[in-house]
Amino acid sequence: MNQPILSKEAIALMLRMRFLIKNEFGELLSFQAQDAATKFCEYGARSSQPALRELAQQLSSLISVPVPKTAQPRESSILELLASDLVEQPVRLVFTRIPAFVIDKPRRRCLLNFSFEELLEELRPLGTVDPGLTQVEPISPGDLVELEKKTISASLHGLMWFCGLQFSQGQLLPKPQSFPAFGLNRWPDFGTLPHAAQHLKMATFLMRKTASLDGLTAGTGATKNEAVAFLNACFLCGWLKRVEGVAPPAPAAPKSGLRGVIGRIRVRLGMSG
Amino acid sequence: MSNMTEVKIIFTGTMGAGKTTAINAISEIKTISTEAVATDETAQRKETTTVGMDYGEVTVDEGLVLRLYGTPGQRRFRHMWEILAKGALGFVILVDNARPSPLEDLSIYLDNFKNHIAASAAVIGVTRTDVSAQPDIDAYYQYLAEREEMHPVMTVDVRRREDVLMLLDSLLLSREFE
Repeated sequence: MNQPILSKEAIALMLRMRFLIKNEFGELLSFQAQDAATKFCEYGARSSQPALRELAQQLSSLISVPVPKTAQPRESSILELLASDLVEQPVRLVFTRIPAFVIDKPRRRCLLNFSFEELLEELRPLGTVDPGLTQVEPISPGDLVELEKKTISASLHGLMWFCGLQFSQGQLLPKPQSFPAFGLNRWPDFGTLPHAAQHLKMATFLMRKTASLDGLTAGTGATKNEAVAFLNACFLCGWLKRVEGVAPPAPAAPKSGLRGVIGRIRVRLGMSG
Repeated sequence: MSNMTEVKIIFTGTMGAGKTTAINAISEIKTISTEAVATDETAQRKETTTVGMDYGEVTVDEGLVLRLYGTPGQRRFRHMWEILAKGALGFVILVDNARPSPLEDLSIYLDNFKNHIAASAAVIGVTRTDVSAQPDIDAYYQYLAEREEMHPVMTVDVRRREDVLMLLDSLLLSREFE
């Protein structure tokens, strides 16, 4: 197993912290463990001693993944962050404008010290404003187990879906922007995700056909902003497929025969979105 | 002679998955059910179970009526499934996630209605996920992919009319965009 290489500064901090942790928590931490530094940080952060908390903060900044500099302010929006490679592995995200939380993409969950609704309330006014990301801390499997006991687990799809629909502002994320056309590899679970009738329509359209952005709006009657938000949300959740070769948007078929019958039923049941 | 056009949608799935409740949520007439006192495994869950079929309907407009049929859940009544399935607009398959093998349950209905579904469409509603979260929706899609089939899969509470409408809408849209 590869042991992460710690700097001299990090080891010096851990030495200072070791006995403070032993005195307070009664546990002598090992330097050899795969996730030793992260563990030191966690104990330090929980400490009642300001000095130990300060050391933990210093150590945390030494072992954290550096936050990449972005060329444009928009690239540091929460939407861009969630679409980036930074969150491929379990990480704790620390911000200045919103509370820290953990994203565990492999298990499709986020771990929170507060409710999911509270997170959405914190995010809602943020829009495309930079949330002030200061640290991206990798979390080891062992620490994830510990975190599970102390935090609330919420659906990562729920977070991704919310951010995609709320914060797209008519702008496709960089990766899907390069897709010639789109398809979906599954329907979003509309039983758990808040949605409008138009989302169900776009999902079914892209499950049955493939289309460019223009094709999607032409085929479903969605506005460009609705379609972009939907595509971004599906991309973040991992359901959007890149499709090569763009077919021209098909003209809407006349509402006759089966389509006419279906249209009448949908209107009668109040589904015509 | 009436000029009324009729279309039918079939609600199928394991016993106790909520077929009767789902039809009740949509039908504008009081659902007609043929029920009997449960005497087999069903009795642990329900006092009565559907042994014939459920029937509900929605008058769409002056020339169109939507008929909603619920199949009896128990496999010993499967001879009736074929009769009900002929000419259906589509199939709503309800799977009780709290049963021991929900994916095996699903396979029964996908296999049994295979030819009819191929000629129309199906949607899968997973119920009672509050009791059992596994298999999750991803597992259902994985299972469908292994069968080389693709249908909408959604968690639902069939006591909620909007959930049943969501299932019906995805079914209808699947037909519209085919």
